[in-house]
Amino acid sequence: MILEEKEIKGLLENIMAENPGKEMSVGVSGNERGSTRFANNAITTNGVYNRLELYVEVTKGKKRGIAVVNELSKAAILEAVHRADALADVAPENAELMPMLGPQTYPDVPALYFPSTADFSPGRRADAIIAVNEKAKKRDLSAAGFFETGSYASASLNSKGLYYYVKATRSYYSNTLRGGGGSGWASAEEENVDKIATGDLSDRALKTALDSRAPKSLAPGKYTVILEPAAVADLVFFLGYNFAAREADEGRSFLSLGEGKNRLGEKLVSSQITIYSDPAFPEVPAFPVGEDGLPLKKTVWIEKGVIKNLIYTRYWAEKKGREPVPFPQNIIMEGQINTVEDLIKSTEKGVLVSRFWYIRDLNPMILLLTGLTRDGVFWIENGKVTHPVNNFRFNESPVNVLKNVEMMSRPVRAVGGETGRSAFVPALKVKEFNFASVSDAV
Amino acid sequence: MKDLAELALDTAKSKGASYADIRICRYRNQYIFGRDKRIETTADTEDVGFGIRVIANGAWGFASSCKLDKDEVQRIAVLAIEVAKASSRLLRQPVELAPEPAYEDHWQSPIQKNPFKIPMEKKIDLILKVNGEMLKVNGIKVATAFLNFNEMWKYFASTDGSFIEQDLFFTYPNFTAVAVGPDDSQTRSIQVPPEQKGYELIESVDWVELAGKTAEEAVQKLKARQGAEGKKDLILLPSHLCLTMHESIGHATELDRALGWEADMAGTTFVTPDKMGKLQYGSPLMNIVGDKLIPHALATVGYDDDGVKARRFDIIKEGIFVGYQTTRELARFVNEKESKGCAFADSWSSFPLQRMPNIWLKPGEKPLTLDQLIADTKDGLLFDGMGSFSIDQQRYNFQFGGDAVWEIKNGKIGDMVKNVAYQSKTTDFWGSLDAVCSKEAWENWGVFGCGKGEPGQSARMGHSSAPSRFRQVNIISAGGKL
Repeated sequence: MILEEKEIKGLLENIMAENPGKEMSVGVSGNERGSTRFANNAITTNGVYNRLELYVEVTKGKKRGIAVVNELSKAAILEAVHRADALADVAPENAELMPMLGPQTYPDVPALYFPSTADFSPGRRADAIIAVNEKAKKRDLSAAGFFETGSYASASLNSKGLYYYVKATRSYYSNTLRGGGGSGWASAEEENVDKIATGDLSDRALKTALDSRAPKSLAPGKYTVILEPAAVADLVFFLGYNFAAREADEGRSFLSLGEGKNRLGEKLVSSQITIYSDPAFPEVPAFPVGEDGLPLKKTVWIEKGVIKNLIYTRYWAEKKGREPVPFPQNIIMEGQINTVEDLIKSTEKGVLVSRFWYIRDLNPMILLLTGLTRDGVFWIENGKVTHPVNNFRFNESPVNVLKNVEMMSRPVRAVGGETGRSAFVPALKVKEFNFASVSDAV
Repeated sequence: MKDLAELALDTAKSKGASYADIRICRYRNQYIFGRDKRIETTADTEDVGFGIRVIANGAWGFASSCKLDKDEVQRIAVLAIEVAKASSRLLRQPVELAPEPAYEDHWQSPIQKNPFKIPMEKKIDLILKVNGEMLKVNGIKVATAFLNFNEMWKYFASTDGSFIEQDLFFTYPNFTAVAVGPDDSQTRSIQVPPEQKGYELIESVDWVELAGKTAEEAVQKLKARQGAEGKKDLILLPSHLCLTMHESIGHATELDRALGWEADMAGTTFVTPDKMGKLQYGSPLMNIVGDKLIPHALATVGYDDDGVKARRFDIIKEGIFVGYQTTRELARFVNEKESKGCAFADSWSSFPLQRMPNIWLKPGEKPLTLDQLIADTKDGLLFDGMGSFSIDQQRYNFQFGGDAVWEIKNGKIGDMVKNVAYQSKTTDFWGSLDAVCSKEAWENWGVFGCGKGEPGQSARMGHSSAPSRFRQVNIISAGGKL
């Protein structure tokens, strides 16, 4: 259920007015989504989903209680406030609980809401899917995928006057074409559904599915790899998830240096690497709202290989005498002016990786990750892709990947196959990437 | 409730549905999180709504809403029909459901103490006490804990004539100690599984004793040497084997994956339908059962979300793959006349998918204790609890770590080792199974948050076993420096 700003603000103000003197924060969010799944060249499921949430947080000094319900009736609101209040009464004092923030100023960001996405019908999703499936059938391939469109609105108001309202649309398309021992995948996520080129995405998946047939066997080992942007997006997200200052200072992360110190300011990766977040970045715009309603600004995480910022919660920032740095909503990695083809041309021997799958931590102290390649792995020799090879499991750290980068493409908006989120990242040519074992999966 | 359900079904039928069902659900969740003798979160969540699923023109349609009144029920039923009609434009074959009798019934988790009726203060005290005990141990720098209590109330009605009310309760405790040294950090968690129980689960455990022991083990793990690479015999405790079974058997034997329905996201499986009755999945000691009947297991219900009565079935018998998990829609694709009862939706707003039931390993028939198994092992590793986990999209290549790993030397448990995982191929690994302890050592474990589907859904399921031994499995080291 999507509520317009006037309606949602009035509702939040009424809740506040009915609870004078109470230290509290209330939020309402809702979404309306429609999605269609397909497999074996037919639609399998198709649905319309509406959700709504009322969030009430009551604080009493250093004590806090939270209640969430999905109704907006008077009785439901009253019950939620009562529950949060009662929980705050019994909660012991939390010395780390920070006071609520007052009004904040948020940076302008590019449009996040597109009526064409919000109004996209099941029939139009079906049109796109029918076209993909016709294409697959002609090449004796089986198409599977998912097309989702929807809108989201959220607002929050607290007793110190902090208020924000955000409204956005999201469209997500993914297709996998399989057959004859080959598999190809392509995916895109956009605020504006008109930017989702389902025809191009199915062409890409179809080409990879055909090209990846009859893979030759290649032994595990350390190889020069070219990671396509979808693979890079996942690695960069996993890097970002582990950028918390507190864990680093407490000696629990790859960014720890012992004795309460961290690697802030250290040159950790190749000087070619710059990674930042910026909700106003036009290619991957984001909500400008972070932890507790803090504004999200442009934040550089790594500049020319040097760690420039870590995530500081409000509590940890105060303890360390720094400004808080909220968890980001997007990731942008600078690249170079090359194309992926340029990266391939420059490679004497190497492996081209389309995407990764099932990535998990193996050892957080060195950010060692494990995961698998999927949907297209190819051998490169003398600057050309020569043939498909088997899938691999990798045991590798994104830190080593970013140390060992030799060349980058121009960045693009890409969806990580594992994380399902978009980042603006280049393809990377990386030396000594560790493929630990072979996977027989296709 | 019955009036609203009948209105939904009548509306759907009048608009052309050949089948319709409605699930009206109320979910309650209580979550308390503490760290270092502080309570950071006390949260109570309630989520109410309904979803209507129809078959029209031979295709599925689904729509849902959180507004529970007569007008909305009718609107959503009509919308579900419209969605089905849009789907029917690209239909391979009409949906057909395996027959199932109509039921009018009520089923409830067999709990003794409703966790939502236990005072919050008691839960908070427990977290603070366990945190405190862990932090008393020299070397422990951080202690975290959560208690999570869930209630899932569901009312299912279908045009087949079923009206089924179910009320499920879950209790999930988690307590973790973090040891930190000059250049390393290691965690260890109390090994008590989440179960379909009430607060009696919490009261059945001596948490204070376990807190001290677990914290001591976290410090031992920090000081432990890195595990070496090579081949070792593995003894896997039920707390660990749970996730290995889940990933390498549970997901691999889902019929929707085998048919390619999950190809875009979760993947397919090497267990293709032509292998039914033929595939040598593992050694003859391997007997895997699927069910929704085991008392207190996480997937146990009276009826699934197709309205199918809970049942038990063989998946692997003496090492041979003999049967898939199915739903009413899937059964016919393997020429079966009835569903195995494996439909589940994680919300009123989710379309039911084929999800794992409880999947468990039968205990060995010959008497065998864990001590005897260890005594019979010369050079091995003992894995307890869950660690890193990853498996490919067809369920061949997997790699698993543990929460704690000890060496076994000449029949005795030796030192703890850290940063090790084992990597294998599913059929090689299960083929190396050479001992399963007998029923006295059999334990209920489970997975509380298993993702599947697009849009993603989360489910929970039980995986019980007795300690088991696997011969000569490849060990990898995850140590090193940046």
